[in-house]
Amino acid sequence: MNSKSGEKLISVYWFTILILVAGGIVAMVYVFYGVQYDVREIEGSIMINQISDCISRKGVLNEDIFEKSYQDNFLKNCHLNFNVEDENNWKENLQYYFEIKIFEINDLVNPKVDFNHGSLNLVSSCEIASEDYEKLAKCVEGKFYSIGKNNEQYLIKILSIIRKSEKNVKS
Amino acid sequence: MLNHRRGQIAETVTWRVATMIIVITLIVFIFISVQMSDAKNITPSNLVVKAGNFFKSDGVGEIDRLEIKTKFAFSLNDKNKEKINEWINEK
Repeated sequence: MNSKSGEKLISVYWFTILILVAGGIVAMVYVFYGVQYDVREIEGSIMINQISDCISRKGVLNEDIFEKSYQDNFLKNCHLNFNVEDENNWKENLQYYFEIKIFEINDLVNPKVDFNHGSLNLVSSCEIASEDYEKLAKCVEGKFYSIGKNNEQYLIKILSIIRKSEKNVKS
Repeated sequence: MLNHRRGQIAETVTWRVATMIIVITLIVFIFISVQMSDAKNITPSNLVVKAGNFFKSDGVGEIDRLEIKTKFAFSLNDKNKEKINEWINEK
């Protein structure tokens, strides 16, 4: 092999390596930035934690929860707001929903308290929750036990649903 | 002539080793990127707190907020404990 053809071969080799490295960098960037941060599950859990603090403190139930007026003004009483950015038509379609059910220990079928706030349309997403349907709303459920002022036993179930798919799932 | 050939062989071997190192390094970095992108799905397990002696007998491990509330309630009234735990753990 003469020196001229050898040099040509080396430059082809370096060109191939350059493409390989550049392709690798593109692949890495695509893999990392191609996936969006999905914070809906954690957002749902934060909402459950906030709601649970309004219902029970140090294991004792806040008995105001049995009053209709407290339930109706729950968002205000619990310092929650459902305001969202004015994007993707979110202002018109609520992106949040929660449901609270409080059962007495002797009757775990019919709740003593049952109320909700937010968009009821999101509830259907929970029934078909699967990894194949990431664009649907995320549902998170929390359950805990609390006692009343007179030592009655209550079981509390909170369901929280967050949609906001446009910002959490890659379209 | 023989020396010239030896030189060519050595150069080719160096190329091959260098190419392999570059390819392996790229594969490792792509694998790390995939692992890092999987970590973008933030789950409620990020919300747990370190358990103290009150919540876990050995004080080791993590516990979530609702579990803390349940433990507090059990410390005040632990009747039907089994039934309650069963209901809470029910999917």
